[in-house]
Amino acid sequence: MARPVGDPCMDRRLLTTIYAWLLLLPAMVLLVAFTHYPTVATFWASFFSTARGRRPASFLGLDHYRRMITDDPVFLQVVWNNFLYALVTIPLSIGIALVMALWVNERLAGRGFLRMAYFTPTVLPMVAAANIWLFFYTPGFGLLNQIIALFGGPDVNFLGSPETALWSVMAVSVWKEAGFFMIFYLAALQSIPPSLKEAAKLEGASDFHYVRRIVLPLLMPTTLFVLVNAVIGAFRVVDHIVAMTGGGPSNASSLLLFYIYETGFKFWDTSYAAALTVVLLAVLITVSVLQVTVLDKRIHYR
Amino acid sequence: MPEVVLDGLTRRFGETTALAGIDLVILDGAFAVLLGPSGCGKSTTLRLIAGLDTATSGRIRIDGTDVTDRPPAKRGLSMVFQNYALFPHLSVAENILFGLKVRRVPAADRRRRLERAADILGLGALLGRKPSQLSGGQQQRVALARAIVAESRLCLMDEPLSNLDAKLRAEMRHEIRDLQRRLDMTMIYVTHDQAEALSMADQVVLMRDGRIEQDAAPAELYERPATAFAASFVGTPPMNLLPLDASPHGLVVAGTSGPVLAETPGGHLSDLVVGVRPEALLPGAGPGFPVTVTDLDYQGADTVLVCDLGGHNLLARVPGHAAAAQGSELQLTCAATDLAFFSAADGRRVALSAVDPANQPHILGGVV
Repeated sequence: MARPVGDPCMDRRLLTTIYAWLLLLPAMVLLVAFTHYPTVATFWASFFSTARGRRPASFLGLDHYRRMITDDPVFLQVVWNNFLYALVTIPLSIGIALVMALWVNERLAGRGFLRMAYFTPTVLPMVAAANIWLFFYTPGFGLLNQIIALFGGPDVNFLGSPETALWSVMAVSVWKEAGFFMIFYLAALQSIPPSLKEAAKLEGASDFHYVRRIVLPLLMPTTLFVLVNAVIGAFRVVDHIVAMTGGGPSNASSLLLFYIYETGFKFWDTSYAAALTVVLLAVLITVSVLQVTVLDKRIHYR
Repeated sequence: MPEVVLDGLTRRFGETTALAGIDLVILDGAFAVLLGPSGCGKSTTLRLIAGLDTATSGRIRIDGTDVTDRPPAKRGLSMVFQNYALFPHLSVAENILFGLKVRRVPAADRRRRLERAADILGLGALLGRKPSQLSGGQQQRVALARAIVAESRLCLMDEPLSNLDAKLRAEMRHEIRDLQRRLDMTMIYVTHDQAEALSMADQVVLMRDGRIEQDAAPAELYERPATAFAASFVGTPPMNLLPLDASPHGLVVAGTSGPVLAETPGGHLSDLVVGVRPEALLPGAGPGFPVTVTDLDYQGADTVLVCDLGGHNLLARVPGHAAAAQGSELQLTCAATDLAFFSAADGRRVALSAVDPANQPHILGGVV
C-alpha cells in the first residue's frame, strides 16, 4: 500500500534528519575547509610540478617521490634525523615522565612545589623554552660551557657543530615533553586505589614488584596515549629548530617538517613540499594504526 | 594461648587522636568483631594490626610474638578489603595466586592451594575471568579466596559486606562464619552494622571515639550493655533511653508522675537515665507507662509502636500486626529486670534496685 503524500511520520523523520545536519554543519564546514580539503589538495598537488611565472603546473606522476629517494640527499638526511630524534626523545621523555610521576605521587615534603616545577616547562611556549636553552648552549659564557670550564673541559659549540646540534635539540625536547607526559601518568596513578598497594604489601610484594606487576600494567592505556602523542609530537613540533639552529649546521639538526617548511616557503617549491607532506602523513598514519592495533591487544583497559 | 593482644595501642594523626590507648585480647580461634560508628577507630585498629599503619605508641602481639615493628607481610595474616582490592588486570586465578607467587611457593603447591580455595568458594568456573567481568558477590568470593589461599591463621576483614545487597549480605555472613569455623581461623572483622556483629561474633568489641566502650559476647552486649552508648547502639530499634526525675515515691521518667522505676538513691547520683528495650515493653491491661501512640512502623513479624511518654519518644516492639491504633492511649509494662540505669554524666551503668513498673500499690490510688 502506497503511503499517502505528506505522511506525518515521514515528515517528522525528514525534519529530524535536516535538524541533525544543521547541527553538524558548523563543525563540518571548519573541518572540510581547513582539514579535509587541504589534505586532498596536497595529495593532488604532489603529482604536479610547481607553477612558476607563466609556466603552468604540469602533471609529473610519481616524479616527486622518485626524486626524494634517488636525487635528494637532504631528504634522506632529515628522515634519518627525524627517525633518530623520535627514537631517542620518545622513550627518554616517557621514561623520565614515569619516574617523575611515581616520585611526586609519593607522600613527601614539598610535593606540590615539585609537581609544579616538573610541569613548568610544559606551560612555556616552545619558542621561549628554546630561547632559554640558547643561553645554556651559548659558546664561551653559556651555562653548560661554564660548567664544563669549571672541570677544565674544552669549549663546546653545542648548536654550531654537526656532531652535537641534533642531540642538543633533542635535550630541549625531552626537557619540555617529560613534564607534560608526567601529568597524564600522575592522573592515572591517582586513579589506582591505594588498597591495591596495601593488598600487594600484605602479600609480601616489594615496592619494585608492585610497580612492575601492578602499576605498570595498569598504566598501559596511559602509556599508549602518551606514546601516540609523543610520536606525533616528534614529527610535528619544529619550533625549537626554527628558534635554535635553523636546521643547521648543514642540515645536521633539520627534521622532516622543518625541511617541508623550507622547501615550501623558502624555496617556493610548493608541489615538492606537498609530496614531502604526503610522506609525513603516511608515516604518522602508519605509526598510529600500528600502535592502536598491535599494542591495543596487549593492553588492559579498565 | 591468646592469639592477638593489643597493649595500650594509640594512634594520633597530628592533633586528632584516632585511637586512645586500647587494651584488647582476642582469643585463638575467635571471631571478633570491631563494632562502632564511623570515626570510632575500628578501621584504624584493624590497619594497625595489619601493619598498614604505624602505631604512635603501644604494642601488638600476635601468637605471643611482638609484631609491632614488622612489615605487613611478616605478620602471618591475610586481609579482605572493603573494596576487595582485586588487581583489575589479572585473572581470578592470578589474583588468588599473586601472594603465593611473590613468596615463591612451588608451582605444584600453588595449584593444589588454588584448587582448594576455588573449591571452597565455588569459583572453579570463574578462574579465567577478569574482576570486571564478575558480579559484586563473585568479586567478594575472589577476595575471600585470596585471603584463605595464604593459609594464615589470622584473617582481617574491613567491612567486607558493605558493598553487597541485603540478600547477598545475609548469605555471605553465614558463609564467612562457616569458613572461619571450618578453617579454624582467628577472625577480626570490622563493621558498623550491629546486627552483623551480633549474628557473626564470638566477641564484640564496641568502640567509640578511639576507646573500647564494651568488650563482650554478643548476648552479654545485648542484655547487659555497660554504657548508655552501648545500649543505644545495639538492637533494632535500639534501647529506649529516658531521663529520670526524683518524685516523692522514687525515680520516675522526667515529665511524668509515674510509675516509679527505682528508689531515689542516696548520694549525688542525681542525673540518671533509664533504659528499656523496645521488645521488653508490652501493652498490658494493668498499670505501666501511660503512653499515647503517635506512629506505627509495621515490619511484618512485628510492629514498632512510636509512643509519647511525657514528651519523650518511647519505642515498643510488639508482635504481629498493629496492636493499637494511631492516637490511642495505652499502658506499656515491663519487668523490673528489663530496666537498666545509666549515669547521664558519663554514661556508665549504675546499679539501682529497680521497682516493677507493673506492681505499684502506692500509686494505684489515682496518681496515674
